[in-house]
Amino acid sequence: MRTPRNTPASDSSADGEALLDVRGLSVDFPVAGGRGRTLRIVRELDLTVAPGERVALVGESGSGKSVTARALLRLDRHAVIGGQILFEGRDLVTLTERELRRIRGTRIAMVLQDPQTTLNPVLSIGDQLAETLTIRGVPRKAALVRAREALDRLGVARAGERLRAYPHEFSGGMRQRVCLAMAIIGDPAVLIADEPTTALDVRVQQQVLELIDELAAESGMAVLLITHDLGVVAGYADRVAVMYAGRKIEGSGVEDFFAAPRHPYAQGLLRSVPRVDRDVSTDLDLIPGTPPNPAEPPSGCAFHPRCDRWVERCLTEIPELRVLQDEERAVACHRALPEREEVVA
Amino acid sequence: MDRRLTRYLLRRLWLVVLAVWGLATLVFFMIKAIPGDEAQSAAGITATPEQVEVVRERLGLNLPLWGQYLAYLGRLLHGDLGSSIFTFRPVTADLGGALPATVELVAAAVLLNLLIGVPVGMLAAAYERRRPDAAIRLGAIAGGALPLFWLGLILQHLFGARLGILPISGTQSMGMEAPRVTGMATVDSLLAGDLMGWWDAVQHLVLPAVTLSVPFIAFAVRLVRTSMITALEADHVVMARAKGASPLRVMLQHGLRTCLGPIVTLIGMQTGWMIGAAVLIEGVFGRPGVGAYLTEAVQQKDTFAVLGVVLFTGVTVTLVNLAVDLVQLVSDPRVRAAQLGASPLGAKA
Amino acid sequence: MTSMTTSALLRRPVLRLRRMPKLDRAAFAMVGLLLLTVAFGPLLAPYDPYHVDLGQAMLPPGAEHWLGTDSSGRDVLSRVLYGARPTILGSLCAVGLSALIGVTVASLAALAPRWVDDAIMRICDIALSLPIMVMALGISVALGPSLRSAIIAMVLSWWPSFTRLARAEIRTTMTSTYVESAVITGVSRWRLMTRHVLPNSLDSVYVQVTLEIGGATLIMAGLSFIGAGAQPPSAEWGAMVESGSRFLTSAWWTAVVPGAVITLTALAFALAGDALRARTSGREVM
Ligand SMILES: Nc1ncnc2c1ncn2[C@@H]1O[C@H](COP(=O)(O)OP(=O)(O)OP(=O)(O)O)[C@@H](O)[C@H]1O
Ligand SMILES: [Mg+2]
Repeated sequence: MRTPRNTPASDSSADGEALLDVRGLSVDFPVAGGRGRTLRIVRELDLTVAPGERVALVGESGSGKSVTARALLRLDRHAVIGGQILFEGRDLVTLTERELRRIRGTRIAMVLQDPQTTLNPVLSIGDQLAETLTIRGVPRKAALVRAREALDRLGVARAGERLRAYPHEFSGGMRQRVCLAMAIIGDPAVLIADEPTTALDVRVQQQVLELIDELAAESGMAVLLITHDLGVVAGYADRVAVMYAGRKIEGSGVEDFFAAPRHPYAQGLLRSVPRVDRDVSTDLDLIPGTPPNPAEPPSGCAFHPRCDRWVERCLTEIPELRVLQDEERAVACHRALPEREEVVA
Repeated sequence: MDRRLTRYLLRRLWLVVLAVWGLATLVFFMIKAIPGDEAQSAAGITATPEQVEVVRERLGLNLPLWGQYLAYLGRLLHGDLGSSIFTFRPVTADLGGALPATVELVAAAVLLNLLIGVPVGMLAAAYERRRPDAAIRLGAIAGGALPLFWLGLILQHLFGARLGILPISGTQSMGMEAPRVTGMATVDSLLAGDLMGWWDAVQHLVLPAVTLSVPFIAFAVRLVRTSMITALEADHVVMARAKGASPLRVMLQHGLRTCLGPIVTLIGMQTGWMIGAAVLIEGVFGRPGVGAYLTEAVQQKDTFAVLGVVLFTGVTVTLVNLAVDLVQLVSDPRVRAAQLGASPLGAKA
Repeated sequence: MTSMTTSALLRRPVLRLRRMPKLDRAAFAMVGLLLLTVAFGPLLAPYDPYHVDLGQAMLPPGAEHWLGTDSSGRDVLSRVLYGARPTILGSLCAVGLSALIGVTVASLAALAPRWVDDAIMRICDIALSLPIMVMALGISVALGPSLRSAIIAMVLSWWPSFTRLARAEIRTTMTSTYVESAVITGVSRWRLMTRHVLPNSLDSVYVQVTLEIGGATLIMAGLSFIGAGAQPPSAEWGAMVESGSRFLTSAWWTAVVPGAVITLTALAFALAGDALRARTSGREVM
């Protein structure tokens, strides 16, 4: 599946036929009480997802993963979104709400980060599952049948009964399954799953990942998986994109990434992982130092205060995301470039 | 579930009984705080000393304080709130006569509140931090700052006296009165099949109801706005958008449905406050309601009438609160779970 | 411990005028003006507010009498300036006393055993079930109608809402780590409450006081309007509206002016309270 090519300024592995092609995405939020001032949370982000591909988006807490995911469907009410989000040849950034609504849920579906709050407390599980279909004119009865099938597929026992229950009657693991069922019921081409395993215990985590795996294989659905867990990335993804302080700082195939990450931040991540395979889970927040405050980003490279290899240039110049020569990866670091190129530059 | 429900209802009813007893005690001490001879004021200023003694005997005022207290509670249990020294009728009878006009007024104001306050609050939330929102916010703050009685006077002067498009005072025009069934002019005229009379009664109701509702609408707008905004930021609302739901559906099904709880609570609370506020405007608009009766009684120093109304209002508000809690219980599965206790199914799965 | 100092509200420069929206600035200015009127109103008044001169009755606003005269020939402007004291000072007293009682009761409830806390909450429920107007009329027959009765009535119906507010805040503060560490060092419960818990729990109470003063002036004026508060002929705004109401057609200013002043006062305190709340909670609120 992974047939990476070198395309300029991108680590795209798609044959120019990316299903989802994000270019220079930026997301700004108005500051509360700031009278028109805004805060840029995500900047200059490129990301591609080919049909059937599984891309992992990693980064420590607060790096902007969820904001990115929600921006792809323009879900945050106050977010101001810049750049392009090309999906099936259309730019979601400039689409009208009405046109975008046709894509939400049926072409691109979403599993939000927190299953505890994603379900509406006063609606029955069945009605919430069926909603994606009923709002498109599918009769309620038929939609509920589909809802039951979706729950069945996710291995929820006594699915028919569960449709009449309310969210507070469900445990965390069950809610996560319901959220997944809610996402796949519209048979989307892309599933964006925001940390679908974080809230779960290890055994259930494994089950959920396998479920997503199966579903993707069955229907050819592409998956953008957001996670904290390098173990999940290694066992599951085709490609990895690493975010730091709202930027993508490294993107590559999963094997290259684990073999030799190039960005000092990514290297730091991997150093704390003794052996990379399915059994190892590591929290990404273990790197010393704290991530920058989006309101007061450091000058130059946002990572330099925590970097052990910074040079003068890192303090003043923001490194661009560049495709490395002879490699199928892009890195945004002044020090990651081969020596000779650094001399030239 | 059934046994838990019974237990909850019993506990709730017990609290109501407790509250009524507390109110009665408060009123008892208010009576005791009044300077002068209680028997004299109960019998009326014109009563002869013999008559005063009879009343003293009857009310148990020659007993020690705790005996008087028990006698008072006993009379309350029989629905005896004493007699008005002004109308010479039992306070309960007077209240019964005055109640319909107040119920009509408060119901109309609550209706206006639901029809205006809730949608406008939702509109403000939908346009959060944009022009319409700022305008609504200012309007709501200004509306909350208007003195009711003054607003009533001015509206009455403008629409009644100056423009002459609405009646100034009363509940129905002379000669239009329908036979009294419920005591509410709008309902009675409908019952009598008199559409002209109904329209006349509605016109009489417009100004007082609008006046009464203004500060409550102002408050409701702000509460609805705040809770809608919180609701709209909730993940499940974002999820509804992610499913492709339309803005209207997101607002109603996911936004409003989830913040119905605070809104129902507010409307319930406001019903109580409105009874209080009716005191300020029933007089202005010449409506023979509980508020007007109370004001009149205060001016006549009609102790038992006043304190009867105080007790009655407190009990009414307590019962409205009970009703609100029950509505919440029926309409919100979360409240049901919290009050009745339910175990999560998922734990077993 | 830093909690020796005052609350965050007073520590933080909340009143930094330069960065304040115009409307908030206007509200604070108006509140300042009103407080000045309370203090110096009688000095500024051009006439004696109680001087009856039937020859000068119902003069429209003009050069002699800026806001006209009422049906007894008394100068409306002077009466409005004098009226700031009973209306605003009375409301300040009522709300301030309510807050004081509310916070004291809440502190005692926090230190007392569970059943005391329960009982206090039940009493609050009962007191809250009487609309302020109704409570006030009850009190006014019991104690006789006067400004003092009105204040007592307002305090009686208002303290429970402050108790509830303070109780919730105190409970939050009690669970914070610095209070827990103070407990470990073994300070007395009294000291814990007065030195550590209360100073960090009262922000929202201060904000609420500001917000409620506006509402209190409305109620104070309303009570006088129906004859349960300040009695005529005293220069109180609600009473002035009442006596002016009979002359709306012939001398509109006698009722309109005091009513407008009441509105402005309530508006100023509501806006100022909102601005304070926005500053302490760090969130834009409505
Ligand atoms: N609606 C919003 N308004 C303003 N700032 C926001 C908003 N949502 C998120 N942010 C800010 O954006 C930054 C990134 O948040 P985001 O939720 O995307 O992080 P994340 O990478 O998903 O972290 P986690 O792993 O903890 O989920 C944070 O600093 C957060 O405070
Ligand atoms: Mg996240």
